[in-house]
Order: sequence, then C-alpha cells, then structure tokens
Amino acid sequence: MTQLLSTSKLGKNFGGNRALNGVDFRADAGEIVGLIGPNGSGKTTFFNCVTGFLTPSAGRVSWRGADVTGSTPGKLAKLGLVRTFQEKMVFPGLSVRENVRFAIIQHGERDLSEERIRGALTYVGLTTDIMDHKAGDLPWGQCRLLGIALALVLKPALILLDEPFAGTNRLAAHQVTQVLFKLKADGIGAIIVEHEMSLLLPACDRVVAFASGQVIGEGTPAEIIHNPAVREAYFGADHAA
Amino acid sequence: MNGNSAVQRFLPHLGVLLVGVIIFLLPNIGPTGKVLSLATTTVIFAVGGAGLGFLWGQAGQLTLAHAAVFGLGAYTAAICGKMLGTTFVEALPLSILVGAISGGLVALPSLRTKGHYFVILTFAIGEVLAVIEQRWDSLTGGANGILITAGRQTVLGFTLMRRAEYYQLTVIFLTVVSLLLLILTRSRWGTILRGMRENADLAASLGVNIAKQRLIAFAIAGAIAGLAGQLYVYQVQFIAPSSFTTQTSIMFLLVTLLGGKAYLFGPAVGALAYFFLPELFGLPPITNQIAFGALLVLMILLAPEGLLSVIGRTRRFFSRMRTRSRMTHELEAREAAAEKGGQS
Repeated sequence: MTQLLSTSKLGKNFGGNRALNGVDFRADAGEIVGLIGPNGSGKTTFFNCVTGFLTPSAGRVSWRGADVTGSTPGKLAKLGLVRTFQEKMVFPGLSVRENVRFAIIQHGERDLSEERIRGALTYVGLTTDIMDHKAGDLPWGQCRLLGIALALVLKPALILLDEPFAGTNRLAAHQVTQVLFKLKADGIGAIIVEHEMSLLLPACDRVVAFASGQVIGEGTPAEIIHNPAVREAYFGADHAA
Repeated sequence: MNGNSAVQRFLPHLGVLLVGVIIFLLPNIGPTGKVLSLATTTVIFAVGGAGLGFLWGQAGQLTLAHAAVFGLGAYTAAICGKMLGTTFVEALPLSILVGAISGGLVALPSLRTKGHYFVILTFAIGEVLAVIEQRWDSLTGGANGILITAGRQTVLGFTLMRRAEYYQLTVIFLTVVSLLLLILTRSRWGTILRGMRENADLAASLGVNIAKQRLIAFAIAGAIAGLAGQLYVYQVQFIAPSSFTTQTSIMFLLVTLLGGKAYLFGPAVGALAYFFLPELFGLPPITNQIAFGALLVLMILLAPEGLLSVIGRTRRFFSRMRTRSRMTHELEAREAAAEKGGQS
C-alpha cells in the first residue's frame, strides 16, 4: 500500500514538558488507523504537529515521501491532509448551507448548487432539512457529522478525526461508524483519536497506542487489546499480563 | 418564482433606494447650514464606519486604530494639497492607498496575537500614530495642524466649497462604498471571511491562509477609512492630531455598534443616531451628554445586535403571531368540523 503520512522521531516540548518523544508513525492510503492512549498521552499534540497547528521541536513529518515538517495547515489541506476538531468542529454562527459552501469554495469548485451541498450532507448521513439551521444550534452529534462533511468536501486522501464519537448519542455514533465504513470503501484513509474502544476498534485496520508521548504498541485491534504495555498504560501494572 | 414573492423580494431594495434618494435630496428641502453640516459629518462617519463594520462584522476583527488610519488618509490629502498642490481627485487614490497600506500594517500584530490582546495592540498603534502626527511638525504642522481650502474645485460637477453640493458628493461616495461592500459580502470571499470570523482554526484546517485574508480585509477597511479621512479634511478644511485620537476610534466603534456591525447599513444608521439624537434633545451640553449616554446604554441593552436588528426581530414577532393565529383558526375549524360530524 502507498504510504501517505509518516513521522520520524517526532518530538514536541512545551517548556520542560515533553509531550511527544521520538514518535515513528505511518499511515497508508485507504487505511483506517486508530490512535489510542490515556489522557495526556500526546495524541492531540501529535495531531496538531502533523497538521501544522504546532511546529515539532524535533523529528520530521513526511507526506507521500516529501518533507512537510512545519508546513501550514492550509498547505497540508491542499495536499490532501485534512483534520476535524474535538470541540470547534463547525462555523457555529453560519447556517449549515453556508458551512458547506465554505468548504466547497475552499476546494476551488465552481458548483455551489443546492444539489452539491445536499450531496455533501447526505454522504455523512445528515438530512437536508437542516440546511437553514445555524450550525451552532445543531445537536452535538449532527455537529460532529457536519464537521466531517466539511473535511470530506475537500476530497482528502487522509482525514484525521479527533474523537468523532465524543458526546454523540447512539444514533449519531452509528452514523459516524457508517461514515468510517464509507471512507474505507471509497479508499480514503483516516486516523482516529478516540477513547470509546467499542466503537473505534471494529472500524480500524490498525491501532497505535500512545503513552507519555511515545508509541507503546501497534497492531490489529485484537493484538492491541492483548498487548501488555497497552493494558498497563490503561489499567496499571496488575492488569498487564 | 410567483409574482407575490418577487414583489416581497424587491420591496426592501425599493425601500433602500427610496431612502437613498431622500438622503441625496436633503439639501432640496432647505435644511439649515448646521443641519447640513451635521448631515455631511454623519455621511463621512458612515463611510468610515462602513469600513470598520466590514472588518468587525464580517471578518470578526475589531481595531482601535481605525481613527489613526482615517487620520492618515486625511493628512495625505491635506499634505498633498498644501505641499504639492494636488486637487481632491488627484489626492484621492493616494489617500486610499495610504489607508490601505496602514490598514494592512495594523493587521500585522493580528498574525501573532488574538482577541483582546490584539485590540489592545491596535489601541497602542493608534496612540503611537497620534504622537507622530503631533511631533512631526515639519510635515503635519504639529498641534497647529494644516489649513486647506478646496478653492473652486469641482468633482463630478459638485463644487466642493458649496456645503449642499459637498454633502451630495459624500452621499455618492457612501453609495459607492456600500455597493462595493455588498458585492464583497455576497461573494465567495465574503463566505470565507465569515468562516474565519466564526472559527479561524477550522478555516485554516480547510486550507484558508488566515494571515493573507486578514491582511486583505484590513487593507480594504483601511482604504475606506483613508477615503473617509480625505472627505473629512475637505469638509472641515483643517486638520490637527486631536481629531484622530482613540476617542475618534471609539466614535467609529459606537457608530458601528449602534447601527449593527452585521448589517451593511448598520454604521450609516448608527452615525445618524450618534450625530442627530443629541440634537433632538435640545438640552444644555452636559445634561445632553448624560441623556445621550443613558440612551446609548438603553439601546445596547434592548438591541445588542444594533438598531437594524429591531427590523428583523419585529418581522419575526409578526411572523410568529401570524403562525399562531393561523394555527388557532385551523384548530377551531377542525373542532367545528368534528362537532358537525358528531351531530350528523
């Protein structure tokens, strides 16, 4: 499989705090990679470093083999690497229609028709009767789906999803899962940071576990569940075996 | 589209056009010189306020250096007129250019600071520019300022020295600026600006070069402030640093806030309220200021989104009333039909 994103010895320090410490990572085209780890393990810092929101203190980020360390989020988005956010996932004061219009314009498309906007919404399972609603008034789950829809309008090769299941009800969680399967079917790769293992693991090809800013385990979902280092990071030394 | 909805869509535009024509023809109804002078100041502040309204309402960037940029436009026109002998028309592109460049320069700190910190920085920039204007005697005339006169100049057939004609010329400039801002607001770029205003991180993640777009927005607002500055200096025919302090920036801010920063004509309505309401009270100066202050507080409490938001709120209120009345009628009709069915 073609390698899209890779990092080599990636590090990030905040003063004396080493948030990332020599992370080697890769994600291939069309692959769904889960990123797990306890709170403070460096997952979101890793996201921010590879998407240009933070400049790494050490190491290198590569996109399709080219060095993109320190590139701006805008440049990376144009290359096909797009992310969603845990909290600020939409443009809250704009209507759903204008949210999608924004992404379409950014993708450089001329077609701003209702049909194009509907297509973007229905891909993620949103109904089109919410088009005139303010995005900030939508329920949390619909906000998450809209955030994913915006990222997907850019037709990325790889999408980074920051806790897509957080705060969603069962229906919205099911819709997010369906989107993940659709991404896979359409050959779009994804890296997903998530705490909700029961929802994450079935959708993943591979899982990478973080602790204290380092990769402590990697493998299929089945392998990672039984990985002693991962069990120790989550449940303590008594559950490592 | 049926006829009714076409009329409904066209009516607001017709209303704006009608108001525009009335404003333009104000000198024809024979106002006093004082009213006409105040009306000209109102229109000039509406032009400058439109720039701030665009920047604040659309791009979400508030600046307290707007008066300084306005002042630079005014100084450019005055210095060019006095030292180089340029006419109003010759100085105009220079004032706009100086406004655009200085507006862009004010934006530079926004690339590294956010929110309140940025506003404080713009306040500092405004103060520094005011000090430069005051101390650079050889160029700006220092605290004594510069006197200019338009002589017999005419622009588009309007004589600058005639109060009524100069007023009408400023109304034309306000119309042009409003049309330009309407086009920008409704363009694809307008959507990008509003997105940046709502969530800059998300906009960046979707590929927007935030720094570049902010610089452009500030430059446009600066260009409009520069234009307003030139209009102002040709109205008062005198320029001194005291006209462009932070107090003037607060005036622009109030004008924009009063009318509604999200509305194209918000600053124009705000300027009208700001300059004419105190005149309507007719109280002694200090009492007048207190009354106006109290009215401002009341307005901001009752219509925090600006005076123009009252139109939308009223429309929504009547729409709710109509829906409620229709539902009541439907319910009564259904009950009557059910009763009739029961009897038969």
